[in-house]
Amino acid sequence: MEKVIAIQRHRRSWRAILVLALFPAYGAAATGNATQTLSAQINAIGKLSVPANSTVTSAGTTFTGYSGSLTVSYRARTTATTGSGSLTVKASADFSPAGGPSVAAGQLTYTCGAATLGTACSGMQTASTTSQTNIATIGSDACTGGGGSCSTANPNTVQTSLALANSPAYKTGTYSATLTFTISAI
Amino acid sequence: MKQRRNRIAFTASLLLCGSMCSGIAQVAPGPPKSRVVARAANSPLAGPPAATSLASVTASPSTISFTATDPDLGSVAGSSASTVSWTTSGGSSGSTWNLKVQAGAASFTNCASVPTSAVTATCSSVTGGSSGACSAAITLSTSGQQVATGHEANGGSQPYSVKMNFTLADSWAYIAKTSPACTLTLTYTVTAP
Repeated sequence: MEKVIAIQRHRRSWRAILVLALFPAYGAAATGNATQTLSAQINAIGKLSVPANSTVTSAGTTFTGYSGSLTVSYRARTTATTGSGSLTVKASADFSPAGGPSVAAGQLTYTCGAATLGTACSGMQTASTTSQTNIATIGSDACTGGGGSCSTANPNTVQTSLALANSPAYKTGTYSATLTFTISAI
Repeated sequence: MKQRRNRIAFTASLLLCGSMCSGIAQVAPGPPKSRVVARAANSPLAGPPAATSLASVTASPSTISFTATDPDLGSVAGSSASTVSWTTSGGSSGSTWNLKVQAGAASFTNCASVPTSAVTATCSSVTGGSSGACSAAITLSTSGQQVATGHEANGGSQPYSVKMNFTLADSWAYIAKTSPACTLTLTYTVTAP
């Protein structure tokens, strides 16, 4: 009789060990995965701004030329490897009223300071009423404020120094012309 | 004879352990395997609830597109909402499921200038189970981040779905790229106890 009881106790202890061994499997979490792709198309773009008005003045009274400066602020991003961009200017309206200086006559010129993105124009440029003239060119892989191959400056800037001829043939008065600045990026 | 019966019962228990310990619960492309888990509710040795089986975890559509045309606009919405769906079997209303998302890289492929953190994921709705709740909007990263949580539904083949929207913060600091497009792979992970 005593021998039988001992066997039953032995069986109970086996059961206890078996149950404990099973518990970790019950507690394991199920996981399932799925994937999805995000696709982005980043288009090239450029934007610029210039002061609404810029005045050129003459320092002397002996018909020295008029001068002034104008800063072009811009942002741009161009396409990797194949992209490019440009900043240009064109006189969309010549000086008025008549009797004063003339862009069409090649009397408005400018030079460029350093550009914070791209390469500024080199040497004296003559503004035109019929065609765009260069202020800066931008290469591929360019962007504003990104560092690396991009500029850290934001916005980017390039300063232009304007020069307008002076002549005793001009009638006295105030003359104004309209310059249109254009940025392109591809 | 009685001793032999006991030995058979013990061996059967070990086989049960072999299947449960290694199988746990897995996502299977085919129909989920049925499984019987016996639990002695009144036994002082009763353990935690049986594991839930997950199946058919999918994310739709397979690709969500962004077209970034002007950084001054701020952000760009994805081409469509994303829906992550799955089913559970053997779930318990006392158990909680979690959905996490993580990106495969710190920046978009083909576009190193576009960081993964430019993407914001916003859960908009949860269906299935009970007490489903969206987490706050997250900026994507390479670490798993919780998107939604909820309680499981009892029983077999219970459907769940979480709807999400994505936005991409556009920036002048990105280099333009249209072909091949910039891509980022997301992995959703559903966890159920």
